[in-house]
Amino acid sequence: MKASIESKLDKSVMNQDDLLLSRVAAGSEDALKQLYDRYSGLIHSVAFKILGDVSEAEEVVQDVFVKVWRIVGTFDGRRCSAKGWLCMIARSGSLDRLRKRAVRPRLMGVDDLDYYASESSEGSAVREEEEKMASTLKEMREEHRQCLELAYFKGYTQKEIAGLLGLPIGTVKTFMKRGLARLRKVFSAEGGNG
Amino acid sequence: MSMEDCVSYLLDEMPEDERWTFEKRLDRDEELRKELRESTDDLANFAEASVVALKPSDSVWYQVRGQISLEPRSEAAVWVFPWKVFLAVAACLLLGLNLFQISYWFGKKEFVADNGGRIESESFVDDRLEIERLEADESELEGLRNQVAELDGVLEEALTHNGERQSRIRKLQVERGLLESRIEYLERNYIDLVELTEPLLNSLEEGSGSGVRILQLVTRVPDSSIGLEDDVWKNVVASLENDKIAVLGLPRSERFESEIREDIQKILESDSLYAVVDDRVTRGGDLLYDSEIPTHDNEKTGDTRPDPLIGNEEIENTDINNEQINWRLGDSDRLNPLDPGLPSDPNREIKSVDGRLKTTTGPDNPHLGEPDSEFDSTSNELGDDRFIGLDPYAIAYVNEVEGVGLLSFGNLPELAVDERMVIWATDGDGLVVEAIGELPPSLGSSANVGVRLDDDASLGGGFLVSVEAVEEELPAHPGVSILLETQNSP
Repeated sequence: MKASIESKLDKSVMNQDDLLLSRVAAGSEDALKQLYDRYSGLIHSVAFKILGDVSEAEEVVQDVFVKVWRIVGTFDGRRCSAKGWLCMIARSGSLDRLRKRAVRPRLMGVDDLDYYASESSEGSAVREEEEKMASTLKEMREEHRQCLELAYFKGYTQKEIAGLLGLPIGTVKTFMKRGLARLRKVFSAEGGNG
Repeated sequence: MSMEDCVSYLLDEMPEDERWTFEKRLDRDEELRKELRESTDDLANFAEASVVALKPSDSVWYQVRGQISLEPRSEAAVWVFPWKVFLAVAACLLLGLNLFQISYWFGKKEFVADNGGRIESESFVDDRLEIERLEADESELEGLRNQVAELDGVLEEALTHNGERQSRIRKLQVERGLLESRIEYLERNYIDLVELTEPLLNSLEEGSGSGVRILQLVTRVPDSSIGLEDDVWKNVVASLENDKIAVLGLPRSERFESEIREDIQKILESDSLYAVVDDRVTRGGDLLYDSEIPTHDNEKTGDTRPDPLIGNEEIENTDINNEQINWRLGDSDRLNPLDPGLPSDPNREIKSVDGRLKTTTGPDNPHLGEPDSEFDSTSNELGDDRFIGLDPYAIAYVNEVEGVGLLSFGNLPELAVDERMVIWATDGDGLVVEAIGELPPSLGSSANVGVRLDDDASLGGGFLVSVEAVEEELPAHPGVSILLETQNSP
């Protein structure tokens, strides 16, 4: 299993996360634990942002890592990073839970992020990282960020966003593309996370 | 393809056909895979930048850890034919089938029955056996019913026989009761006679009764039962020889008859003769009344028992046939206690004896002392030949009597088949006035007959009774004719 996963990994882009997944695929519970320690916060945050409920977000975290343990063999490092894969699993699971609800939670704005940042930040280092991320996001145009948030955290389709914002669907696609390109550029300039 | 397509693919907005095409391109387009990886990171970075870092509770990991211990690995996610489950289920099925088959074999073995080539299962055979058993039970039940019916018949027959037997027993009991009554009566008579006789004998022996002769009618009691054959009669004879006593009886034996004949002759020749008729005593043909009667009355003997010769009211009141009792213990009994059927008409009322019957005669009787020939010479319309076989003690003289008396006859002639014995009554002069009855031919040489004296002017002053053998047609009820009814003696 480990060999098959490594065979799918691009050696150039293969990082520590990929190695952990490779170990998880080999049956290493310890590797899964390390992966959990590294990304459970992010997954929990994404789920909380989508669902707005801590307990339900924790359930999503639990579901994500159990699913990783089960389908780690399907992970293809050449197509996505471990972080991106985990976030996509978390987003998908959260949106499934969200669709089961009758009412979608209120969409959080930047002010909400400030509130959460002030409430949950631990330590100056983390706080600095969060502030950096928040500042990065603030460099995005509002309409870009809004379209991305509606698509990523709320599960709206680009057509729905277009309808919701009164924009042409092409404009929505462009906004989302330019927003992501901006982020990539920022992270690339900062050395990214890897 | 560009970032735009990758984002659309990652956000699940790509149509199914385009998605399939996109994935095919991913397999062979490394640049596309690289772009997709970078797009994935971009979205992750966006998400990370968009959220506030939160940490789940520590329990989440333990829940993950607990679940992954139960969850299959990714490799195991590939469906594998569950051989173990299949084998387990198959084994269970086979085991179940085997158990069923084994139980079937043990419980319901099939076999070929020798029944016309038919193949039957044991269950059918069991049913058939059950039916046969029931039929056998039914047959047995029928047999038992027949036995019960037979027993019922036997029981019914037994009950019938038992009824007959009970009836017979009842009849025998009645007869036994009669006999017991008779025995009691006879025993009492015997006692009475003994008690009657003994004081007289004693008085005679003492000489106090010198010149007294007593005639006792004892013929109603069998000699064998009163025991007078030897001692008493010897005493009587001795007394007679001493001219003290005479007991008139009618013993069955010829020996006693001859002795009595002699005794009677002596009595008749004596000057003063007392005769006991029943429990009354006459002297010289005159009735001695109670105060004069030297019998076993209360004054002398102290015996308060009922007079056995008159009747016993206690016995009469028993449940035994009253007619018979009346006949036996009443007046009819005095007629012939050994032959209750003598009076053929039981409905004929016969009053109790008042005891006024004289026997024998006194010197004033012209016929006394002149047996046979004296009677034969009597001039009467009936002729002398009518009086045959006359015996002195067979002559009864009745005077002023009312009711029924008992007459004893002895030395009677044997009758031919076509003969009958006629009883004649004579007046005080010895003239025959009327035939008062006849004796049944079966009496033999002696008989006790009862007479009922009613008011008949022709019999006034007394009469004698004798017997005669008459050659006439035998009556149907010979015993009836011996009764003589009178109203009053003048």
